[in-house]
Amino acid sequence: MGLLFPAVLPAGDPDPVNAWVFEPDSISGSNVRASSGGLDGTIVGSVRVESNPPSIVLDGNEARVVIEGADSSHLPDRLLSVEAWVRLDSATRWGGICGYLQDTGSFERGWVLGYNSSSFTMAVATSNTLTYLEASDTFELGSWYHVLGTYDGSELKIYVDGRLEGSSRSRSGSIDYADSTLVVGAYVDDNELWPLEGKIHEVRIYDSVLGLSDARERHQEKRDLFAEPEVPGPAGEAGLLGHWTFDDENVSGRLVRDRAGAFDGTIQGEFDLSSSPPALVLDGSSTFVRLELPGGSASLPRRELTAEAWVAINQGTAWGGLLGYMQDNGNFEKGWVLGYDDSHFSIALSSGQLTYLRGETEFQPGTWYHVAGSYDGQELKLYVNGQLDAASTEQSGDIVYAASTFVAGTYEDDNEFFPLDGSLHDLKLYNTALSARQIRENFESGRELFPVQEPVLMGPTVRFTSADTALVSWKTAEPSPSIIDFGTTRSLGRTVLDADLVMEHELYLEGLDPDTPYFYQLRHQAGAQESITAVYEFSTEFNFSVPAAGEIDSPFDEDAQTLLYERAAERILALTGIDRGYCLDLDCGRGRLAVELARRSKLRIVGVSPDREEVAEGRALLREAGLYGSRITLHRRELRELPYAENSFNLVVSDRMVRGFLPRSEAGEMFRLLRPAGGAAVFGQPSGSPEMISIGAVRGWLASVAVDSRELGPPGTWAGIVRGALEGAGEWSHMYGSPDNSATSRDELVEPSRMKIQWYGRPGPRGMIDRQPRQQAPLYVNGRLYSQGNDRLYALDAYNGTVLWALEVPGLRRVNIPRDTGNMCADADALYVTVENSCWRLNGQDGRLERVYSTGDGIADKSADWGYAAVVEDQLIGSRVAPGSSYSAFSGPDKWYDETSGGFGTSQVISRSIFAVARDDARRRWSRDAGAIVNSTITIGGGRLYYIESRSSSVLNAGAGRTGSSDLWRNNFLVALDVESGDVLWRQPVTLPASPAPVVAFLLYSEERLITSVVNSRYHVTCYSAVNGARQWERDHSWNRNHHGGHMYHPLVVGDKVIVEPRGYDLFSGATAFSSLPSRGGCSTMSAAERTVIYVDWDYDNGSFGFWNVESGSRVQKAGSRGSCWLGLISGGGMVFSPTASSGCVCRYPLQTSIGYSSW
Amino acid sequence: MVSSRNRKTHAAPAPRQGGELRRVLRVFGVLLALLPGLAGVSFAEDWPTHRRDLQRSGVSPERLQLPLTQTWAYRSANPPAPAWTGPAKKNYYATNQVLLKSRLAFDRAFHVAVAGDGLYFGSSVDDTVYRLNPANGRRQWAYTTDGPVRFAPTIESGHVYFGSEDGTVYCLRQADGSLRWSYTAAGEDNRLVPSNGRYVSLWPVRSGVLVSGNVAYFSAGFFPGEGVYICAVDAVTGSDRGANRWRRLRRNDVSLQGYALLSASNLYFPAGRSSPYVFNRSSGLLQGRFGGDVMGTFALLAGNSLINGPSSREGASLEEFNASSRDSLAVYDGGNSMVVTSSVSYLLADDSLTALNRSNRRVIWSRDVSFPYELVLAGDTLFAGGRDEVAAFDSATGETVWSSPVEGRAYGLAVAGGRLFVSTDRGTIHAFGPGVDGRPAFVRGDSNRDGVVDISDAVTVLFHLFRGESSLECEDHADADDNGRLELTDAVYLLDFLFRSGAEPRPPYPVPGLDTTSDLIECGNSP
Repeated sequence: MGLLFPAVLPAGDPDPVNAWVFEPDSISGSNVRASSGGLDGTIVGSVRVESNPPSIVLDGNEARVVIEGADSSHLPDRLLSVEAWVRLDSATRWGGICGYLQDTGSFERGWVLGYNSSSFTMAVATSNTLTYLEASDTFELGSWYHVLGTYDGSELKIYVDGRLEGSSRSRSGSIDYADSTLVVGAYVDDNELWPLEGKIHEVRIYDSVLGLSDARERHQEKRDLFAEPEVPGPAGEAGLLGHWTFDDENVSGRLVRDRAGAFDGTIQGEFDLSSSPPALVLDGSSTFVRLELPGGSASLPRRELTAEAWVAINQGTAWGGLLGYMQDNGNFEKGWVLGYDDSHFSIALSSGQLTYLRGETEFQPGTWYHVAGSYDGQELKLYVNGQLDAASTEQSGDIVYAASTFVAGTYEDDNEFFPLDGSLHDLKLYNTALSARQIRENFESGRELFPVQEPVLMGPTVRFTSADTALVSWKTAEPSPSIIDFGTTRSLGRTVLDADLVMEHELYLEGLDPDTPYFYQLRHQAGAQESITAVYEFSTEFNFSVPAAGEIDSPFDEDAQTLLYERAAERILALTGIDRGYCLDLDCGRGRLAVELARRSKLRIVGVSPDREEVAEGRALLREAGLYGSRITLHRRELRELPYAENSFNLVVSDRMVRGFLPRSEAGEMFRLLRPAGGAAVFGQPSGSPEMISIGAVRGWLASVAVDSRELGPPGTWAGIVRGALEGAGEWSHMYGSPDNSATSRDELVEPSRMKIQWYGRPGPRGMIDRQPRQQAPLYVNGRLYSQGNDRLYALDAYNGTVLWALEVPGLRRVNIPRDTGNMCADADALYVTVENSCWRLNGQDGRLERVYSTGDGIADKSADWGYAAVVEDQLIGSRVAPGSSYSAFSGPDKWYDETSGGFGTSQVISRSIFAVARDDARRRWSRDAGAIVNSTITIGGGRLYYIESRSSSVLNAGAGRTGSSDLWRNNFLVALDVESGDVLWRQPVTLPASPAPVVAFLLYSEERLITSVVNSRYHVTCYSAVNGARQWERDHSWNRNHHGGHMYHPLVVGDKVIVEPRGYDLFSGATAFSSLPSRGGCSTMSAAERTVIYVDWDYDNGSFGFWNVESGSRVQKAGSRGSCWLGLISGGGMVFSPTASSGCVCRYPLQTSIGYSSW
Repeated sequence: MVSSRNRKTHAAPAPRQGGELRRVLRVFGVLLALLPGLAGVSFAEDWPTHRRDLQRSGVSPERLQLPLTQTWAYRSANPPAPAWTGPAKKNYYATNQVLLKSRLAFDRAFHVAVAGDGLYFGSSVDDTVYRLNPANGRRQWAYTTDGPVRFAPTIESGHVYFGSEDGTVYCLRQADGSLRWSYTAAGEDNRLVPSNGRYVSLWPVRSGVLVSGNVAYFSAGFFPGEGVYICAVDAVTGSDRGANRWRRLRRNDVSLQGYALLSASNLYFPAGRSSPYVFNRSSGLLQGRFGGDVMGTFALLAGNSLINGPSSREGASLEEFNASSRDSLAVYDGGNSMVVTSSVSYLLADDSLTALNRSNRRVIWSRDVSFPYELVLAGDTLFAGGRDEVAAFDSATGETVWSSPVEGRAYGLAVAGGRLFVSTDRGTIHAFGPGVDGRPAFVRGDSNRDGVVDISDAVTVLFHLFRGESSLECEDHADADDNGRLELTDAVYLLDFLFRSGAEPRPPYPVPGLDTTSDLIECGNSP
């Protein structure tokens, strides 16, 4: 993929070389005064001049304007743009708006912006050949258009009303001219005259190339001048009672004009107006439109009704309304509402009792739909995008009403309020039932306003590359220019583009303000077609890039040591490959080595010296350079016992060693501070130092460290050590610790009595998903901590909290994990995340996208989403789920997903096949079709992959990606596959508690045992042999509550015990090991290290974490913060991690921050 | 308690001869002249700590002469590095989702303290406390600690008190920035851990330092699980031994962040995103915690009221409590900041500024304005900080009486010595003083713009003319005889005036103003 350099469109208008505005003031007799370029025109024939809009009226006989003094020397020879505002009143085979042309047989010269019998055209001649480029859309007679034709020496383009409508590379090189005449208002050469019948307002000729944004700006600049007179239009439609369009013409402040009737509206709450397409943007919490209803419900349709909306929903909800007048309390159901739920549109209407008619079409977040509901007194119908989506005859007779409110953009009655998170373009209400044809016509007439389906195959992603720059990346299915519109409002306003046609796109957005939310949209041009994506968001609040020092001059005078320090820094960075995190400069002098390291890396450097004068001088110099604190800190300390957190520095170096002297300390103290799992200490000097040190001296100094040092020179004298992983440290590489789902890191180092804060800080709550909707757990592998925010990823250094990288990934979010699986896993080198139909491998250290794995035949195959993900040795295991099956909605009380069976969000996500691909080359290893796999039970251990599936025909036949059917819990099997081959090793029928239907079902593996925990009013715990599926023991106990997560705890393994709250059972015998747990609170589930259980403690007001050593019984509380409602506390690497997970909580605990606890 | 009176006159050197006596008199004249509204109704006041006093009132009796003009601006190489980023956008669990307000906006700008001829602030990005000359913004000294300094210093009795993220409270001599004493609450246990790119103590000082009655009060630490210290040490020696001196360690309960407050008997500590705690001032024992739904680090004491906020469970608001009983008295929806006088409360919200009758809380006036970040009262003028703008309002009517652009969000305001100081989230400190037609007024002869006319001004002219090195920024200031040229005679003129009864500098002198004579040397309105 080539790196593309963005070209920002030039600001301001380019100056035309020639221009004429045909307005009364510029026309005197037959003379037309040029507005630019000084070449006046002469009117030939009969024209009329109008002032509103200013224009000349050409009769189509012979009238035209001839620019007498113009010859080819006045005209552009290689770069050309011609634009005009024109209205055609008749079409001809050949037509010219403005041109300098000669086209006789094979003698073809010049250019002309014109038209033919149906479309506008742009023609340019090079190499004696004319190419006529035709706009893709046809024009309408009697309508004003802005037409722009351009030629850049290699490509012809034509834009109509700010849209690119054609391009051609048939011509290249300079424009050929022959003697001719520059003419406005006719197609003329020496043997042809095709006069224009219509009006021209303005013509401009440039010797530069205008682009798409120019076309749009030029069009928008004057389009109001040519607006069609107000037509009775909508009000003229039969039966149209109300019509609300959320555009500039009809929205003034908060007032929304009813274009058809008297039902004006007032926008409530916070809102925004977008321009492309014009729409009201509703925030999902406060925005809606209250509509006037002077005559009360008597003004509303009674016998027949049609309600229509153009809407894009960002996030569904249990009850959603687009337009309605509704009152629904228990059995008291009156009125009607055109609406939606979490995934489908609906029309609800009452002629007595309510029918809630739900459509079949599952809407995609952020995508525009035309939705219409109609009722003819006998049948209720729902249409989506002009197609019938559902119908019901349950209602008949007149619509009945009770006192309520007439609203748009929310579901509201006297005790319910569910505002829309999305955008509304247009709403209509009729007192007649439109026919299917009428609704289809309404859809067709409006659809041009809305972008066609997104062409993006993968992405976009956003990463910050400096304090004010973001890099946006995406892939398309076909080559196209890279274009991004962006801005701080949904109106966007700034454009960055690269015209090269590529499929892998990268564009930098520069000059970004700090701590500012941005909106952006990708534009895709294929041929004459342009499409746009949804408007995405990112915020520079999540820009954690290190302040750049590369451009800062060293504050130290250049002298004999300058080169020495530069070489030393380069060598240290090259030897270790460590370019970010914390560096300790032992015996740092005045910080010269620190400066050179800072200029070449992203390191934050702490220099320490026992010399007070050195530190004071260094501080003063670094302060003035703007480096102190932001990149380098100097401390004066005795070196024998440094105050820094143990195991925290990524790199240790010594300025003093560069100067040829050993540090004034023991190496052991330095080693104590060095980060495990890859931290490096490099000591020595480059060659050429006036004071040389021997390699023997360096290695001798290092010899006190228990690890053998390595000689690293030449050039120069260098030795170093790399610290390995801590012995006994565990990992948390998958949702529940490891693919065995035992919810333990098996970390032997975690000890409650020694628990203390190792680091704290970013990321904070702002970028996280709310604490409620039960999201993906963080992961710890190989010294890195991965945390998933709201459509964004963070990778942190686990031992010091450095944000290694951050990536914004629209569409990443997955919630309600207890009814699904996690969406990320990790190995030593990489993080794997599932995004829609693919799984991405991201480099663990820098976040680069290294590979994309597909559920099917490449990422263009959208037939399934990627469900389960696990990495086992050299295989990546995945499952196929129906597109859109996973939960992503997180706004509203119901998105706590805390309901018992049958409630909102209790449907289980199911996979229909499971497969393995090679981790390194993405080749398919095996694939196994299955029944309905309960995603939350997919487990790997002992070389086998296990799951619970249902073979219930009703579930299988439904083909849905998630189901709330109680049949899922019938005809069940526990299945084991060989994880290497995918072969079925055994399949055992199992009986699950089907009534009441389980809230959740979990499976874990440990010590060749499988434990199922299936929960419906009781926790049903069963142990099976992992070798053959034979049942070993079975226990059950009641849940302690049916809310706040008490009914869906995930089981976990501590030593030889399995904890299913609040009980602990012996893994092998099932004997009760303990029947109660430490008091604790909240909605979360526990996790474990080898001997320690980690949980949210009871003290919710202060917020606290609890650590319980199950062997010793000791318990430690750490007050101050809280976690999420699922699994936000994990262990690994000898530590316990709490990446911020309490986002959105308004309780009064004092701290919302990410914390790493250590226990060394 | 910190004194609010200006000590400039006491700090001036004693006259040693007749000429110097005249000089001191002239200097005194200049100082008087710097005081706006010479009718005797206003005073040049100090602003010796955050929001001027230990009740964080944000009220000064000083009246500034409007319009003000920017006289200098200090720009940090890097913007402030606040301790905390913003909260979640909303509480998505709630049915009625409202935008959440940050409860922790205590260090978005470099808040200043001004006393006498020094302006002091700490930097959260380069760990340093600076003293600047308030007249010209020039640095006078700098003291670097081992961690970020997030809170404005407190100036008292010739000393500068402040705490650092390194876990230590420092007492420096006001004159030269030398260390008088330091105190680390965690003692030998103090440990520096990584946090947001820095190594900082687990017991950082995030209360500010309150100094009263020779005692310095502060807290250290905010992680309850690691323990939190509350300390009262001798302000002269830094010792925690003796009567009314103490050091208390609390575990797993309090978490303290935000500028602390002092009453006659109690210490009030904001508690980060939680609600405040109150401790007995003499013993350091915990008296209790304020309840209710309002939380955050904005707090002020007004009489026996504690006002706290700016966030509730339902959105933005301030709540007023009886400071003794901790009973709730009132809730002010939407409030970000407040100033309280004996009769009126001024409430600053995101989009409004409102005056309320103090006794019945009825609205006196309300203006729709967008200056949401900080509010102070100087004389009868309210100053409010907005985004890229600061403005003044008539406290009687709410009418806008002055405004000026600034660089960034104006989170910090201070009024002292005839000037307004505005601190923004870009790390800029703007100084505004009297001006005419948008140009800063000056005193002729004050060549180095340090606010006084003395021998150093003559030296400045000589260095400029003959050594090419000086702090001379505007020749018009140094053109003592106003002949339109800067030359040796200007230095001689000044020396003659100072030491030989020569004529005083030509106008504007001693009252600050503009040069009304037509000549070729002009000064811009930026320093």
